[in-house]
Amino acid sequence: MEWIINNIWELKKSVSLRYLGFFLSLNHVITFFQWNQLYSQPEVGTQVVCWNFFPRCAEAAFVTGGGGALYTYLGLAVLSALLFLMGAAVASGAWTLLATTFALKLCIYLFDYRLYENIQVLLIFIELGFLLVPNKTGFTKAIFVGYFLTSGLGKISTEWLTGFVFEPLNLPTKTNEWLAALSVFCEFFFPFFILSSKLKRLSIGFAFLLAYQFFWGFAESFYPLAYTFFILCFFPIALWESGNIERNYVYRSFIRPEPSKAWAPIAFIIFIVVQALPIWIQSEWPITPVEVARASLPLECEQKSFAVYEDKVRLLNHNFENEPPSIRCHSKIRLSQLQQLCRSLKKEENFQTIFSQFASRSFSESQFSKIFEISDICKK
Amino acid sequence: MYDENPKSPFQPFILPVLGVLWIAVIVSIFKLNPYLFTRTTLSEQVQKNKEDWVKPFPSRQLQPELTEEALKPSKVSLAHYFKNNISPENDRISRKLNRIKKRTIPTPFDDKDPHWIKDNSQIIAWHPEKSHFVVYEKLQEEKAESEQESKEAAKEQEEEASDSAEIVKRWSFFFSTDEQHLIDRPELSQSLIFAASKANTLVAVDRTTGKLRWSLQLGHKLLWSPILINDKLWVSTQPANGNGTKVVLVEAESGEPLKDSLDWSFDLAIRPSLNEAKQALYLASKAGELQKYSLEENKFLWTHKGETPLTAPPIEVDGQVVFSNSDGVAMGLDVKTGEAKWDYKLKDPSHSSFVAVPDSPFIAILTDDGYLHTLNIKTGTGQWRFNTQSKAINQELFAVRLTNKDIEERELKWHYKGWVIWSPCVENRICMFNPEEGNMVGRLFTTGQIATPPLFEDALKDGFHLILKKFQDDKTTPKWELAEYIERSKFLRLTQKSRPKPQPKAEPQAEKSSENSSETKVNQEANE
Repeated sequence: MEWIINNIWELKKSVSLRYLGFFLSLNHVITFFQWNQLYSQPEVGTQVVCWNFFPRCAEAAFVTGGGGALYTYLGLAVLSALLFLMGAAVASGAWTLLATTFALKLCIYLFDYRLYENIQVLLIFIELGFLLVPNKTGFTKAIFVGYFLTSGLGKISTEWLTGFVFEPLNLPTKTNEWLAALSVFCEFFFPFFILSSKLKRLSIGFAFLLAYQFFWGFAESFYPLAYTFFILCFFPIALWESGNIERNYVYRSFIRPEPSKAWAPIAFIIFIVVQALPIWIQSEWPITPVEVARASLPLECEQKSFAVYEDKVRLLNHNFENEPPSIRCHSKIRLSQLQQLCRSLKKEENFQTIFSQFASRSFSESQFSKIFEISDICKK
Repeated sequence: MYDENPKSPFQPFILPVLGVLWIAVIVSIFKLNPYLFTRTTLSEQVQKNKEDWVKPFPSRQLQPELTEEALKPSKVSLAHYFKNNISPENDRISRKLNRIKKRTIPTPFDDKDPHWIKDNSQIIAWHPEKSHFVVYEKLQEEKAESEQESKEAAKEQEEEASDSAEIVKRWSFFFSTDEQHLIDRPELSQSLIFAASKANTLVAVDRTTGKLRWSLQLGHKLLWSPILINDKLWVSTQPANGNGTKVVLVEAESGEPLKDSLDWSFDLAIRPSLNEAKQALYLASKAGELQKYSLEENKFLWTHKGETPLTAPPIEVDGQVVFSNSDGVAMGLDVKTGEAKWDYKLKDPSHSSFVAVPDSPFIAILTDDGYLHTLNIKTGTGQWRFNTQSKAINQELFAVRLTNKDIEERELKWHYKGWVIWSPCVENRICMFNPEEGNMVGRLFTTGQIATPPLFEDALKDGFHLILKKFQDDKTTPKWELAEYIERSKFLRLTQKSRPKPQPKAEPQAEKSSENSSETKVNQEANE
């Protein structure tokens, strides 16, 4: 309890942090619109894809059941944004509302694999720090820079450098390649500028990152632009507030209790370690729901199966081209569909079993790698 | 006004560290994409190195062991196509024949007349507009084998078998969807069937069990069935850009594609065909060229520049390569140089290959309008031609060696060793022609439409099979029969043995007709 009181006290005394709280609440509102768009699609909106650490998927139905959870989430986010604007007096109420909104968001997020996105990882980290970690300003800055660095690191790959992500802009392929290369450099170069205490450097970093995000908005989606814009706005406000504090040193000589500065580097290291986990732990699914997804072309995958009958063999056609690219090449989904196929084929006369092989390769791989090969799927 | 912030002790290191980081990033970018300053794009380079197939499935580890014999081409393999239409040299067939047995073959396709391949005890039915093929076997042979009776006993049992002897469907293999038709006749080894579908899937299926040995998904459009040459499958495909031909070599045993592939700049007009010595391939382009490609030296030995494409694989006869093209012009080329030796205008184009009559200078071809042409390969001149008016499903010719008695009776020349040409003619008939003079030396009447050329097999001496199309009582539903024909003398002996009072009822018409046919002399003028 003492820990929470200290966190709320930090909010009460800092205008920039209350603005950050307001921006984070606004980001929840934007998140609502983004997710609601997905759930409104009649084709895919009702098909929740659970994370692999949930044994059953049925529990997740509440997020799509008329959108009740989502609308509650929106209401809480709007209220918390309003309270953050009302000043220090209601900071504790704002904190409580934002914490509730955040908890609800995590529930929805963790039930549906499709909501997993790069930018959500950043928001979750920053918001967690904002709610519970001392030295919130330093923490936010460290995570924001760490996000760009890990994202840039993920982009140093053959796939990214082909410029595939810029194809919707209909530019020449060579231009796309240059844009991809420049985007990597941008993510490693400009985030350091916004850490500067010099207004000029911060302005350069702010302007370039904003332009970069706008460019992304055109190439991909405007949601990430909106999210990062609000977090970027925090940096000049924080600088302005720090300038005020510096000036106040001259006139005020009392000693203030300050949160430890160690929290920012600790947060940065934790963030980087979490992102680096998949390098050591190979898994088809993201290791945690808090991993920045690698920027890569969807996997290319092939599934071959044949149904064995007493007197015939039939090759089976697997048509999963219409499935979303992020889950198309998912071995567990392919396996579960095979089991479903087994159940339906068992109704046919003389049917015995299915033999299936699933292989995939990334864009830069020349050969397919076998993911599974099962000779008797219907008995297993 | 107020003091500046005290400097961090790490500040002197910040810029050098950032400098190293940025240089490392730039170096990494250029290492991963060295083409940034060139016109070549990274995507193109990556795509070039990609294999355009998925590894065969099931993988090698899950495939059962095969013997060396299993991968040898069957006698009806595409690699032996030039010998498929010649009866075994040691089998001498009488011109007087009787049907001894008939076995009903279950109908494989409801709406299409199947193409049939018979290889010893197995019969394979396929069709280019069907996505599956069916394998049949004779039930009685299986029983005999299972009881481990001696060969002679089995033969005797078969000889005494009644007309009701059954042929059963052993297994069938289906490509995944109805649209995935077979693109061509399956290729056969001793133990495997290799088939290719329009969905660019190549499969190897165990002939005995029907189990899939492997399936290979190719990224290129398959053009024809593979040809089995030296344990490898030669698979003709169309490259992604649609120009030329890419031949992918695949290990027949495991289905693993080999790294070496052949890229030819021309579009093939017909399936590549192997020469008799199995050292070279004949490749006919859509532009009308015929090229000989050495398998040993991996190079083109010669190119014959024609103007119209070939319509059927060429054959090698007596130092010449003979073929006909879509203009209906038959040609003979020197097998070593590709130099044209002669050409001859046929009455119509033909989609069949020539049949070489052994021990003679004659070659024969049946044109699409039913004319049987016989040419003398030494002079390149037409020997004779005859309008067969064939209504048979099968339009293939066959060279068959008659018995000495027939040579004597029909006054054939001894130095031609009794070889005659068998051709489908009129309706439900096979006509036997003297290749030199064109006179008919015999006829065989059948009880249904002839669906295959005569099918000779090792177990059946002095005889052969024919697959016939008949109709059920409703006169619209087809049914298929495997009819076994043997020498008449043998037929009489067998029927007398089985019946105390011989009443040779089977095919009285055929008997009569065969006798009558001895009086028939046909030549070009007479028939025109």
